[in-house]
Amino acid sequence: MRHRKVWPSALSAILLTGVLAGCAGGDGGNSPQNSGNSGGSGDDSPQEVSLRFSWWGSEVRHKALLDAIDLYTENNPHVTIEPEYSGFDGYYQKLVTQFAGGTAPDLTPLSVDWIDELAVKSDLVVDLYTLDEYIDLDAFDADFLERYAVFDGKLAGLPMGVNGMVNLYNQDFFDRFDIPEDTVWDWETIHTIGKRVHEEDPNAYLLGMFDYRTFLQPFVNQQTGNQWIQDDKTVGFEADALEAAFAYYQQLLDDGVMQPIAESSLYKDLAENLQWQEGNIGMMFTLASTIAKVKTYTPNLGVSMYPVPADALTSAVLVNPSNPLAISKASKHPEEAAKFASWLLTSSEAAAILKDVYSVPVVAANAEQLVADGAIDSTVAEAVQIAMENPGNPVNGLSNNQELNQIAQDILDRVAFKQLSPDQAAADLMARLDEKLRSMP
Amino acid sequence: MRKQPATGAPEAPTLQAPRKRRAKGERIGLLYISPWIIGFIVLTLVPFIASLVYSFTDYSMVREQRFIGLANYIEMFTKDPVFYQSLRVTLLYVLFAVPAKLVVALLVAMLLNRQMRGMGIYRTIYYLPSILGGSVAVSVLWRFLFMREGLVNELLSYLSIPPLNWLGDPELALFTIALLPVWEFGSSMVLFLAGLKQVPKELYEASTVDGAGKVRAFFSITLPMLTPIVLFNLIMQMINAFQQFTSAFVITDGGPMKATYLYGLMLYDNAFQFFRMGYASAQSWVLFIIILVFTFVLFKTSNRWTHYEDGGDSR
Repeated sequence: MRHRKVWPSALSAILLTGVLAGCAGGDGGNSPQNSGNSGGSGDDSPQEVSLRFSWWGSEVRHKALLDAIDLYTENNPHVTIEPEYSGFDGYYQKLVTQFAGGTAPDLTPLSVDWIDELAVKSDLVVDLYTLDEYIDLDAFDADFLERYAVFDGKLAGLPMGVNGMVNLYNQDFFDRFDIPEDTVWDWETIHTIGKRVHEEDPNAYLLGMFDYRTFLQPFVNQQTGNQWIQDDKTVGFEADALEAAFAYYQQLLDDGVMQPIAESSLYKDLAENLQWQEGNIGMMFTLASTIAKVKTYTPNLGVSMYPVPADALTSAVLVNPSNPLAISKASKHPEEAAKFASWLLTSSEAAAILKDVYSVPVVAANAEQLVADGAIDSTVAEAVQIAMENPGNPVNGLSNNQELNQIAQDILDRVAFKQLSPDQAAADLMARLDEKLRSMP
Repeated sequence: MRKQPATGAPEAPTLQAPRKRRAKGERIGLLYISPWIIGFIVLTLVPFIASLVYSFTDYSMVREQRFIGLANYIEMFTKDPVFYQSLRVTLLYVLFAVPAKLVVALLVAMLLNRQMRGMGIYRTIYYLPSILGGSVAVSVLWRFLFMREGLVNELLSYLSIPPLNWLGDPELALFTIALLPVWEFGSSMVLFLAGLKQVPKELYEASTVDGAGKVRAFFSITLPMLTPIVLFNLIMQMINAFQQFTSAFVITDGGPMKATYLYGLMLYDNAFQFFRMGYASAQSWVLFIIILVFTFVLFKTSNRWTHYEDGGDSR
């Protein structure tokens, strides 16, 4: 009788232990970092350290980084590097959650859009100038670092490559419509040539779609010479400049220079647009880092300078550090993380492994070597070179703010769908940005 | 004499013993359900309360949070046009998707209530879409089906109907998204089917004798007898529809022009795109209250249109 009573209790106890262990297991998310970091060995040999290195990207990038890690840990046996890699979708969400929960990886690349939130406002990553004795900063172009990777006087991360905005065009399309590849584009030529193309073939469009980053911000900045949103939390433009941008956009749509918005809005990425893939769209404004992906659909690609009017106050050609590699402030071994980051981004052997998985390397000697070896896609190399010829001002944090940019994108969409006239849209956007900027902490 | 407790041993010598045994039995019972209790507290109750607290702060996960009183709620109702747009879209979605789903579920349940060979297989087939559920894969499939170059337009072209821009036209996109849950009618259908089996055959026999046709029998017998199930389905599906996220996120990402920007998607954007956790918490509480009000109204009005065989006493 007593025996039978023991079993239910025992079973419940086991279940309970399981649940508690499960909860404890959740906390254990911290443990790889802690256990790895606390693993000191003898006094005479270098301290055993474990670093977590997280990144996003394609299979090619994963393989290259894993090979680089293997090489580094072979040469530095006291270092263990735990790779954590995935696609881009959800990476930011995961990273922020990890930072909030104190389980962020020691090393992670940052997208430039995140720097304002993570590095500037929340101060979650190490100022790499403070680790300069472990990083070969001389290998980088100091001006480039200063312009593109330093925020509030702090070096937020080491650029893993150089990225720039260009015109990327389908060479077959240009042949078909007799568009010279050496055309120097400005907004007027886009309209003239685009209109002619559509008149010749009603199914063909010179352009696919615009968004705030590839059109609205640069178009307006070229007229003003300012940042889109200035550091003092005011907009860097007057309503007139916005109105001109919206009117031009509607004109492109009306004249068939661009694919109708109802068709293009289904695709977040023009490269996935069936009309682009079928060769009915000729050109896109895009970053050099996307060229490899576009090439998988459209092999014959050429690049030229982003449209810049002769009287532009700034070229507004976007140049970005491609994913600055940052070190979490919570890292127990920032020095070791810095040594690894420095090796990964400055050494010739790491560059030979990484090739162009992060676009063209920032370290000039490595970039030249890779180009000479033919290890970098020639279109990518050319794109970066073109963008760097006439770069716009580096985009400040507020102009990259996702919430503000979403407002601009919404209005841009409503203009395209003709729900708003250019002047209404300009007034509406000014009012909404003002309102939002006032309420921002 | 006291009644012997069911769990009590027959040899209970004193009055104290049964009480002790009952306490012990309760302890064991509690131990049994403790995994659920702990899970409920840790994974539901604590986040539930925490979200209420966060809704009065500007919590952003990575920055220091401040208590800002009702500012989130005030911003939502007075300064955020996206909130009203999303609310409007969500209400339209619920108003279309829920009744449409119930009508389809009822029709299919009636078809499957007949006596014929292989009915088990048909029932399984019709339930399949619901097993796939609100998954990402189905949403991706939907996107391909309803693209301009998709299968649906291809089929329409055989009927000489010009292709429609199902997902790119702001007027049509919400309707296209709302068709997805309608297609996943399985769970409601099963409940209706169970309800149909409960309708006494004599009622139909009596109505036939009285000369009622099939339509009259449906409206005078079937539907009234099913109203308790209609109520249950209506409430459950309405709650689900208000919280819909996956289809809008995967198929249209809220576009075009925010025409499919469902409430769940707006919540997600505020929480995980803009990291305004405080604001998103406030929005989730507003959604909770909206669902509560709708459910309350449905319950309160239900006694006018639901019929229980026992007069509703067992409710």
